[in-house]
Amino acid sequence: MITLIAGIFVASLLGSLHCAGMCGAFLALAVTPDEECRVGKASLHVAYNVGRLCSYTTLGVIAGLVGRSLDLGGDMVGVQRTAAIGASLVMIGFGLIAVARACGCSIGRMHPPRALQAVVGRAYAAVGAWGPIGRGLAIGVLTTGLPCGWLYAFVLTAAGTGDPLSGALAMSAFWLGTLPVMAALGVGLQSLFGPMRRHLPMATAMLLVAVGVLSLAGRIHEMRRPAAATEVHCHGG
Amino acid sequence: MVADATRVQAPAPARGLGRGPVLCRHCNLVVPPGLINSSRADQFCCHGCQTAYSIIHTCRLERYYELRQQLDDRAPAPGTDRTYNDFDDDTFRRLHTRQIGPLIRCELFLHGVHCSACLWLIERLPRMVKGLVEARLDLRRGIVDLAWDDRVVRLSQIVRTLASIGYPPQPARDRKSRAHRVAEDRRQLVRLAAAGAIAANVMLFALALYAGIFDAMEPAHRTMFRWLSMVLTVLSLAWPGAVFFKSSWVAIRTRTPHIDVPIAFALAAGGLWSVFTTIKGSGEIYFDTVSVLVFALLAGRFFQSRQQRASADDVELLFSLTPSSARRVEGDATRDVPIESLQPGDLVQVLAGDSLPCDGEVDSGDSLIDESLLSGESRPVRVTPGDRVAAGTLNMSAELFVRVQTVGEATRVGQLMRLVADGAQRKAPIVRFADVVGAWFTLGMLALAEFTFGLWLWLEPRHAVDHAVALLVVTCPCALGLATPIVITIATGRAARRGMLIKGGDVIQCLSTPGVMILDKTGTLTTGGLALVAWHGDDSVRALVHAVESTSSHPVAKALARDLSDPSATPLCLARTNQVLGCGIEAVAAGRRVVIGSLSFVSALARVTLEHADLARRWAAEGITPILVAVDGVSVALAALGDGIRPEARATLDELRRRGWQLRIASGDHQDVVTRVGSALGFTLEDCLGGLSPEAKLALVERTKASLDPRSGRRLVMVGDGVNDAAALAAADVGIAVHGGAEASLAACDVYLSRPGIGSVLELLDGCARSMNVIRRNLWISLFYNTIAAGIAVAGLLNPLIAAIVMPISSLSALAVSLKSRTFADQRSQPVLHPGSRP
Repeated sequence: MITLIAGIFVASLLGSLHCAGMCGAFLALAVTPDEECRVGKASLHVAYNVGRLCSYTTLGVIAGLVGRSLDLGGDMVGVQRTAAIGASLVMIGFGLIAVARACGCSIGRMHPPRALQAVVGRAYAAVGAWGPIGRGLAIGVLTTGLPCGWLYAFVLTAAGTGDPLSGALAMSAFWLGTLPVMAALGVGLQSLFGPMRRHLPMATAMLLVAVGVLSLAGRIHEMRRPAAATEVHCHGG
Repeated sequence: MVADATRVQAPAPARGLGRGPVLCRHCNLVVPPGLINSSRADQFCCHGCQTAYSIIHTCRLERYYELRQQLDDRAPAPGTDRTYNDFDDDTFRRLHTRQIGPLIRCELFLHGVHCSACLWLIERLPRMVKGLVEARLDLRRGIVDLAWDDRVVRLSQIVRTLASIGYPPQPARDRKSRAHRVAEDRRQLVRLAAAGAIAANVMLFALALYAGIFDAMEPAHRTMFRWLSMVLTVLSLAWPGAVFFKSSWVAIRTRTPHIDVPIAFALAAGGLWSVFTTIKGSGEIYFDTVSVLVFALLAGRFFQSRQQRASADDVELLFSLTPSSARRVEGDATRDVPIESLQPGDLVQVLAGDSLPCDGEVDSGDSLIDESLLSGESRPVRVTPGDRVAAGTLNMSAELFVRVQTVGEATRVGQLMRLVADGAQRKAPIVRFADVVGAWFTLGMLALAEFTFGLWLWLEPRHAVDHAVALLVVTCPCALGLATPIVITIATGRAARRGMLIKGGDVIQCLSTPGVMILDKTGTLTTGGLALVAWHGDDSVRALVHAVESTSSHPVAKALARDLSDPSATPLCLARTNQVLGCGIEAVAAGRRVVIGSLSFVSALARVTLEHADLARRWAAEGITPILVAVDGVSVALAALGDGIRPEARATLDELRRRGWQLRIASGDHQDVVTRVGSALGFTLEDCLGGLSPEAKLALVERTKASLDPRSGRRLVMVGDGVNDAAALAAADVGIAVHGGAEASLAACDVYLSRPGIGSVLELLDGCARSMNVIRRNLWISLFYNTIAAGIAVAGLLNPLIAAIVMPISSLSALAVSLKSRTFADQRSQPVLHPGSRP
């Protein structure tokens, strides 16, 4: 488990430039103080990131619960650790598709529901009028509403843990990995990473594959120790 | 919603398509090739970005992309078509390179280095260029040190690579003085490191000794630790700490007490007393206090001198004013040669858009020269064979061949540089606020220590030295010495983030009280370029004039085309155009014959009404350029081109006047133009001074400065932006250079404002006033604390150990107050971004 959490943290840390690019505008909105406002920028950064942490861990808990129900279903038909293996395989699949796209292969993609976009868009517009701290917090929470493949790949990993607590932990590790870059936004980060930008799609794709493999390897290792795995499972349940 | 978002930006072609990687419209990262949809204008790297993009449009936050673009644009990447062959020239090699073993080394000044990514990129240059062995970048000064094997690669190749990745180089001159400064920096650093190492070790021994008090240390060990501390502390005082004794000795000899004197006294008293008790074998020792004090004081001094050094380096910018190379005509060909190898009589080619490398005479060619850098004259001047041209001015419209007369320091711009340098040297050293207080404080404390010593010698001789040392230590004017530099360092740092570079602490002091401000016109109060300032006649021909002038690259045509553009107008059809350089343009547009140009040009081709001719002559007399417009053989309108007033100028000047500043305009431009601009900005006639040469401006500044009473605290501030202002900027109490001006004036000035115009002058003055308040508050806190502490020490209620623990409190309080204080607003450092805000 620790290996997986560490793996998620490292992958998130290395791939977080994507988060900076995608959420930079929302971060700017969240941490821009009002003209008459006495709230410091640091407090707004904290609000935004706490908002993100809350929604990520909630997502992790939900994913863990979904994973657990999959595991229970699998157990009934005699397949152990369904969620873990399924999640790892899907993650590897995601990663390989991303590698293929980075190499130039055109692979069709699913479109997120329009309704989701409309709802999230309205929510962002609504919170724009709130007070600075509430706005920062809400924008942080709304981050999960963006259909970001990178984020949801890690939600999948959280589901793979098959446990709400571990799911929350996995998503906290993801949050922690994104924290340095998100906190450092606005200090010319784009230019700092200039030379690296070109290779980012391939690098993030490889990271997805790596985390998937790591997760899968961990589960296979656990399955080889059925007694211990069962014990852990019982305690967990 | 996505469709909406795409519609907003529809016409733009996908960025990067066909040339390098395609970037995501939202996050600016590379779009994986497999996700590129060439049928779409905007490309996205994922659904998340696409959704975020549409949400941003929904929330009307498009301004985010503009702001981000501005941030990205700060990274310079001016590609040039220079060959850089002059870097291989023998003269260049002799002047700027040195052979060390098999390698050749050279230092180059790079434009546009600003962050660690630049460092990363440049230091990886040896991987890109075969034969280049080393590239070390001094990020702070923007100087790269190259070492290469001449048999494998030529310098011009390396330099071309540097320019191609966005860092156009030029030779770093003044190598000798820099080497000297580097050596001095190194010496300081070595001293600091030695003091730090000694202080750390002595602290360890002190900890052991303090622990021994509670844990019954063996007497032999105790003695050993005391002796080891003594040896190290004496070393610290004799080597790194010697600077304080030397400087105190000088202060005493010249009878100018400053804060080094009590420091030296305290160090000497603490050290000698501790040596005495160590040899005696009993009593308190203060070796830890003394050695830490040496380290802390040296650290403060080191950072301060680094700060000052950084501003001195800016003088090197002087050299970037004239080009470092020229195209010399040799037979039928031209060759890039370093400027130092030009000789009087040589013929050089100057392309349109290039700066002139030398003073000389036009041999052939017909072009417009922008002399605003030298003369402040905002209108381009036409030159033809036989006319004299000056180095540093800009050739605007066509190729010129110039016969060299003088180069380097002998040129007009070179002589102005000399004036600048002299102006900078003549600047009277302003006695720093804290030093004045510190000197009196020092004398007072020394007298008080003597009194305490005498008092206790009489009352209780055993504790006389203890109490005197306690007094000297607890009242060590660290906070007094720290107060000013800390606030100044923090204030200058915050100001720099707001785009205001302040060179010295004295500037903050000078600008905190109102005085006399002399303002340059061109580029400071006005935009510095040609703009449409008046229109007389038929408005319906504006579209015709715009259509005709859009076809020309002449500065007048460009200004007219820009200011008369109407996005809602339908484009007009142009049949043919005929341009006569320096006179005007004739064209057939929308089936009508249009003639636009000077009075004489239009008069020759069409009938000019009396009213138009009179008005044109009157405008010309006022110093603005009249442009006549004739349609179908009759003059119908008259446009006036002049130097447009900056929008923020009037409000800023009114606020300055309200605060008690006395304002004047001094300009090289025609008196009538200056009067016109001045009256629009609320100046009285006698405060508008035009037609001033750089020398006259300097004289004006000196005369005004001499008329001010130094005791009144009123200072002379000069605000300008050209080389013609450089000498005056240097001679003023405070020279403020505004953006868009020549780099030479930036070297001569005390403050450089990166935003155009004088809008940020008010912000600068506010910040300075606030900083001075903080300095004064710090001094009061420090004085209050020191007075109380001194009282306690004189009363004999303080032992030196407690004094050493309490002493940093005043320094820390000064630091805390300074860090919390709002000198230059930080909160406005980011542009405010709210939903619904529009550009």
